[in-house]
Amino acid sequence: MEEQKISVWGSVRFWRNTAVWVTGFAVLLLIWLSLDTIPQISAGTIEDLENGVTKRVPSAAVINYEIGYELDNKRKTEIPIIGGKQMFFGRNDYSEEEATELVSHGKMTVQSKNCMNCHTLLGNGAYYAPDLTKSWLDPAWSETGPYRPMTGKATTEEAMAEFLQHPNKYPTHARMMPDLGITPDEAIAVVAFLKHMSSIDTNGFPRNFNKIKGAVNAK
Amino acid sequence: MLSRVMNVQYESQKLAINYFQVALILFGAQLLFGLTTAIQYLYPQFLFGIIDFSVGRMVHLNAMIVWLLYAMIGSVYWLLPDETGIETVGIKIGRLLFYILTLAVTIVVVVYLVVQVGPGNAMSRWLIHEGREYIEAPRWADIGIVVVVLGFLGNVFATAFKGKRTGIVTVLMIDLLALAGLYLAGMFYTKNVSVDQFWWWWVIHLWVEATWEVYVAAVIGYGLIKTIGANRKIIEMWIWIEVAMLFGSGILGIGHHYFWIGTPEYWLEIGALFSALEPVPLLGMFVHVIYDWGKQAGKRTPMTNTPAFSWFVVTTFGNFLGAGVWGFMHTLPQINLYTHGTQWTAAHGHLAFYGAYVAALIGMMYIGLQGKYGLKEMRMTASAKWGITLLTGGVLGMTMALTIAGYVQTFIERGQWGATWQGYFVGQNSPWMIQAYGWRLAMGVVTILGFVFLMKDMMTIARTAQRENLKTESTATATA
Amino acid sequence: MEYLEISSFFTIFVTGALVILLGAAYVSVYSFVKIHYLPSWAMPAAYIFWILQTYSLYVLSVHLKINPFTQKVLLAAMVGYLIIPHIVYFLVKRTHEAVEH
Repeated sequence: MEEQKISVWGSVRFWRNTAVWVTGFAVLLLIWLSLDTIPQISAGTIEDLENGVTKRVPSAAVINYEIGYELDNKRKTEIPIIGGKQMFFGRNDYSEEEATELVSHGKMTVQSKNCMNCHTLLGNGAYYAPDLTKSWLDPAWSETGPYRPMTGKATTEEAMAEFLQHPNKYPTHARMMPDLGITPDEAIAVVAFLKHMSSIDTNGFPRNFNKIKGAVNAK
Repeated sequence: MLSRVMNVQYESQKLAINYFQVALILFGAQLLFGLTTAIQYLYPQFLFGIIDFSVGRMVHLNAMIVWLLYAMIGSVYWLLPDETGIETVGIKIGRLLFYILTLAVTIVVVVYLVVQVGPGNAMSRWLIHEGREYIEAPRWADIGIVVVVLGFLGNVFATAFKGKRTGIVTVLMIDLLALAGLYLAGMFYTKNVSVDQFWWWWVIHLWVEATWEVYVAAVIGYGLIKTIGANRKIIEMWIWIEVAMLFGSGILGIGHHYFWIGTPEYWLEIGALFSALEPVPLLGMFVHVIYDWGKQAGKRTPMTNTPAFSWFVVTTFGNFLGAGVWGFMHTLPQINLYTHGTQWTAAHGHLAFYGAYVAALIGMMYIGLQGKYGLKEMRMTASAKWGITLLTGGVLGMTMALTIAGYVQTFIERGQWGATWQGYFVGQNSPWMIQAYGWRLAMGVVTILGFVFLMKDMMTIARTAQRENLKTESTATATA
Repeated sequence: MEYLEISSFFTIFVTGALVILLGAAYVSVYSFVKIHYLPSWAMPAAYIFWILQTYSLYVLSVHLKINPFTQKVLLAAMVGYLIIPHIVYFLVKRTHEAVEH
């Protein structure tokens, strides 16, 4: 620029450089934070579960265990607690691979059936139907809740699987869930996905859950 | 002479007009499916089993994203010859890509509406939809979009290097490259839902709260030069200042999406800090608009395109209210823990998208219209006034209604009932909630009326302006 | 994170909105006086808006039960907010002067 000297505030070049530096710095910071976050949210292993190592996202094999949601006094938020072994569709010996495939099949089904455009997953999605983040732990599906007697099933997983396959047989609200042609295999996989999702440490979202009577607590 | 012949000398600008036309059709589709879903909130049996809420909402969101992208690509094709002084390089390929993209979009929408859902396997993801909010497009379409965008970027870069590369074009080049690159972050399957949403936000947030914002800042800069004859040097300097402020706060503002998806706790602080900074660039624009307006009022420079300028004003205020005020109201993690995933988000989303993007791009379309018929001056017509008033009023009304819904939902479902399923249904059945949904529907109808006026105006404003220009000319000759 | 009172929700949303709206009022009055669209005696009104904004943020932070450290950060942010319009106006003026003389 061969013009006369002007103050730095009026210089295009100064502001262009500022923009480049600020953006560059923000991008580098984001990349650095992402490199720290990704390992922290990668799934744990079955050994972690056996040895009681807490992971933000546990191994899919967590479906073999009881899951609770309790107040952590230090963090002052509710966090998932992994308890003792628990039957899931009559088994509690899913191997790591088997469980991972099952949960993945569930996730694929959740995507294919477009669940997220009515429900929310981890609080993201549509607001036309209940949040699914901790649905596995929801009092409505527990022993004392209304859904087990409605479907005539004895366990949460069976009640959920039955509901998913025949939603129009069990109207829970005027806003009914449509029949999405979910097969028995897909239903089991979706329930596994939901159970696994409830074991993710979401920094206490959703809030106030454990104050409600009937909410699932481990131990 | 009243003519419907295009008065555009550049092929690039003719292509821009085509992009705008398809954008408007998709805008109509967005409103239509917004209407069906709004009705379903009140009458769940409406179209149940035919076009379920999930399908309608997917089309509502996707039509919006795609029409905004169409209008964005169109705006670039429009301003490129003006800025560089030459015809866009490779415009024939650009036109071919336009037809390919439009065909692909049509197929995707038809499949959404006809096939709707598939079995839980990879095939569904590749051929039907991906089932991830906002970026539902099936994988084959993702790849197609990348190819089309690469072609578009090729056009922009080749033209900029061959012709005059202004500051506005430079910002757009970098920004569009980032925008296209970010799309790749949403193009793979992962078994881990937390990792899935982590990368998903890279696309959504870094588009909507970073690269799109910068894109709009650059395009409005061009618009202000065109409509009120703003000084180019000041505009370009300010675009760089805006880039610094928008990227400085917006990129790490992604933290407010990483509060509750399984990501570590430090995102709570980062998200809170940078979201609190996000209104700063909006306030910066505010001060600048006031300053310019003060200067303008003194000079009385004639405005050459009042509808476009009015839409740019709506953008400044709409962006400030929608993104700034409605964003800050529920962004701090302490309160977001209760509001996340409620109608609050819907309230914020409606006003923010309208204010930041819809208004700005409609402004660009008016500039396109003016140029298409080679009009020196274009004034507000009655339909233009009705259009801008009803659209803005309708969206504001929907936002108000959804804000009440969000408040009631937060209070009952999250506060009293601990975010349980029962709490969800108790909240939804509350008379306050139902009334709010009713008002949202009514205001949605107002918005659609505004769209009808807008369409009517876009089809007739040029003729009206030509007729008036003729009248003034003939009076001038008569007095002479 | 502390549990919030449900009775705080309304206050939280209103003060949250006020923080930004009063901020805009402060910034607009300040700029309008600067470009001589408003008389200079209106300037104290701008600073009154800033004081009200700071008060809103204080009320908000109390109802959000944020920790003392964050509270200090917010107060620092308000001092920053006091200065920002001055800086932005200074920049607008300088960038315009650089071109227009």
